[in-house]
Amino acid sequence: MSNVVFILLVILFFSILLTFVVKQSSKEYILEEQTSKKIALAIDAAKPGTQILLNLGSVLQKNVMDEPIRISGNIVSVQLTAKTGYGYSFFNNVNVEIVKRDNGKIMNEKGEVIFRIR
Amino acid sequence: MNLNWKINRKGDERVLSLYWFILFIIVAVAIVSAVLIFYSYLLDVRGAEASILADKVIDCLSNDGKLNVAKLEEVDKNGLESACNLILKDESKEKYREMKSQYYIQLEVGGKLIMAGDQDFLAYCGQSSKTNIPICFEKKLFVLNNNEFSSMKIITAVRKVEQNAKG
Repeated sequence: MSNVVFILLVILFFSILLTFVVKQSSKEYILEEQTSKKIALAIDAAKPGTQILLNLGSVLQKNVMDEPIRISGNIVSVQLTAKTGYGYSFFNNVNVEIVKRDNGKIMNEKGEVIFRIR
Repeated sequence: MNLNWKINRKGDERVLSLYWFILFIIVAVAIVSAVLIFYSYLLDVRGAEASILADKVIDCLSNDGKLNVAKLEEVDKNGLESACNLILKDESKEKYREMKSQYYIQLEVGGKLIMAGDQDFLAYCGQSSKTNIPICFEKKLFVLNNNEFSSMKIITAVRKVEQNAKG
């Protein structure tokens, strides 16, 4: 009996640790930083006329904002919650449009977001 | 004899439980601190940014391996930033607004030296520390200029320390 309790406690202990590690890696502020830098680098490397398709499904599922990704001037801002947000600049002097889908959202059912470079 | 054996076994189990308890605490503290330290570091993309910037400038001033003389004249006239469609002013942070730029570009081609951005960053290039100083990228190549090979050397530096390196 005591062996069973011990094994259950070990499983519980490692489950808590695993949950902690997974939760840390998907914290909103980390995702915002990574996403804004990823988008900024993609825009930097793009030429006018390019369409960039990024799969941001895992990031945007944490979103509670109406407009989680914004591009104003040469700054990409990603804001998933009201209390957080991260902006990163790009040096490529291009106009960037985030394509809106038929339902008014920027992401399709596969989690893909399209950036149109002009 | 039997009694002694039973007492010893119970004692062993207690010592073993304590040993497991301490071991679990050590494992938990190690994993938690390792994860917290790992995620406290910012994602440093300055190396990639400096490399893309260098490629962008090279692409702007050369065409199919040939030096774009018309573009070079435009650079002389309007500056590298305007001629190559770049924005070197960064206003993503309050501190950056007061600074000249977060980038530096130095290009040597056809006997000309072209510079753009904040020249102070050049002093940090070649230093071994890569944390709280600008990150540099250097590239050398040859381009055709009037049917003769001409060397092109570009150095780019990206600062953005606050956004990419732990202070």
